[in-house]
Amino acid sequence: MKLLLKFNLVFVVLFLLGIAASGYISWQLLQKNAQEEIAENARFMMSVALAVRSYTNTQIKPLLKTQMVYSFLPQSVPAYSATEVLNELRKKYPNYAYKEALLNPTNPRDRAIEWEADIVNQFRNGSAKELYGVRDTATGSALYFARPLTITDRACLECHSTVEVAPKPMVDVYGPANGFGWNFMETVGAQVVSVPTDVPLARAKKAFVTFMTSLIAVLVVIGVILNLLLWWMFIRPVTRISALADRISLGELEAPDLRVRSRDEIRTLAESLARLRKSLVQAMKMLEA
Amino acid sequence: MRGVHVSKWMMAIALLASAHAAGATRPSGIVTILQGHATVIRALSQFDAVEGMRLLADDLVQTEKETFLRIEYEDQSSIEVGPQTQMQVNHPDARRKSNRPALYVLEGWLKLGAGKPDAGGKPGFATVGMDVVDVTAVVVMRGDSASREFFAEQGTARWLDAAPHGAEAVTLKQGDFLVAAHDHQPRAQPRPSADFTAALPRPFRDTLPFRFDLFKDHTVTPKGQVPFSYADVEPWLNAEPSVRRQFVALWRRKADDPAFRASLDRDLQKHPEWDRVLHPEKYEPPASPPAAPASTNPAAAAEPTQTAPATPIPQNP
Repeated sequence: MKLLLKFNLVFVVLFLLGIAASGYISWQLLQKNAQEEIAENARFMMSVALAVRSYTNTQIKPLLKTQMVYSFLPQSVPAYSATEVLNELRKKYPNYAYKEALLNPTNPRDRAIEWEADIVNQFRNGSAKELYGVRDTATGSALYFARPLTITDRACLECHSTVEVAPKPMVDVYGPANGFGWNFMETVGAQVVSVPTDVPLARAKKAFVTFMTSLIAVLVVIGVILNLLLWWMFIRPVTRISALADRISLGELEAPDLRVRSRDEIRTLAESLARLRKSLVQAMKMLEA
Repeated sequence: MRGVHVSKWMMAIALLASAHAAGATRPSGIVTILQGHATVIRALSQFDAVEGMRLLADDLVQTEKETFLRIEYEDQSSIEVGPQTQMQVNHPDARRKSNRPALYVLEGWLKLGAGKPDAGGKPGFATVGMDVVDVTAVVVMRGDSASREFFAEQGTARWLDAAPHGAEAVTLKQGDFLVAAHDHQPRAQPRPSADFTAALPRPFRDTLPFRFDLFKDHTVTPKGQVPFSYADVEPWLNAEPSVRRQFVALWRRKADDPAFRASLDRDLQKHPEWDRVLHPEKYEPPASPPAAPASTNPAAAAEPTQTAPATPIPQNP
């Protein structure tokens, strides 16, 4: 088996092993990054919702206090503001969603559906502080991130304890049956953020394909270059030295020496062959004499 | 006797001086917000209101459609005036001699904000035939020819019938709404009517920042003072007696204007107190007849001297 073939066989085996290892490691890394990106998006959306709630509560609600005496303005409600702001976001990013899912909401649109009710009940049971999960939606796979909504501010009970205490303009709008009976420190619902997983995962896959393709291409080029170098620097001079040795062995003692410009082992071999031929010629002359 | 006579005069002068001093020291409000057009009548002139101008006690203010005007006092009490409103401006704590609030709303929209809680005053305002007193925070009023509506937006207040034996007083708690019309005892309702809420001037719905300090060190002189006509002040001339009587002395010189005089005379039955100004001759004491020479007729000497009957003094209703 020729040396070049042996070399290429070993090279291909190592190449394949290297590709496999790189592929596995890079795939795991990219998937992990994609998952973290998805989770970070969800946490960011949740932070935006919390910021809007806080802004509404501290800056907007006091400004609307007098107006609220005359007519109920949902814009003063932190939950409404957060939901509206993120619904506005959905016009451009429809796969993102935010909902304050409540078991007993004032606004019917906030009522928790089945899987949201399960989440709320998990929070009510006290078994979790945050929940992540993946679910299939009509637009593809989505990651949900949920946090409990607990009544930690007694001011909330001004509108959600009893009908008698609640502002009358609010009762006019939403009726006396919804959103009452809440208690202090009770978990009444959950903030649920849903972010799509397809885009980051698709991006990760694309990055993986790009990376692996370029890695394979680079390794192939390296292989070709190594082959060329091997042939030029080693196999070709060794073949020439071997051919000269054949000629000498067949009696061509006057065959010209090989000129090797490199100062490496090939040149040493060529010089050794030249000395061998001189020694052989000397020996032949001594025998003939 | 002479000493008693002099001391009486001195007491009268002292009283007048103190009254003048009291008027002079009444706090003046500043117009801190003006949207639209409002007219101020002061003494014998009228002029357009401008932001930053000071309103003196007893100034009359009239707003037009879609006008909003806010007056603030140093103690953080505020008077917000809605469209098509006529009022006589005074500090919310001021009182008339009859002990009725001096701040008077003839008609229109008013939102009264009491000043600092520790100021010690008892803010209130009067309107036709009724008063709202002891305002602790914010009261809104709408008044027209038919009725008056009051809403205790914040805090409490008391509604009083100005008539001596009128309806019972009503205490308004926060959120209470009261409709006061003729011929029935007003009752507080737990919330304002939908019509009242719908008609409420938009600026009344907001809690506005206190702007007194922006203007307190500046002097804004209103321009374009012109005399007012009878039509401009007719509602005041024909207001309830306790209010319109003040204008006899204040606008007496307007009776020198032929057009004004003619209008006063035409509607004299609505403001009979002007009769003395328009027809002073009715009130002059009859001239004493010359002393009769001594008569030799004992019968004639015994007859009592007949004098012309006294002109009846018109009684104010």
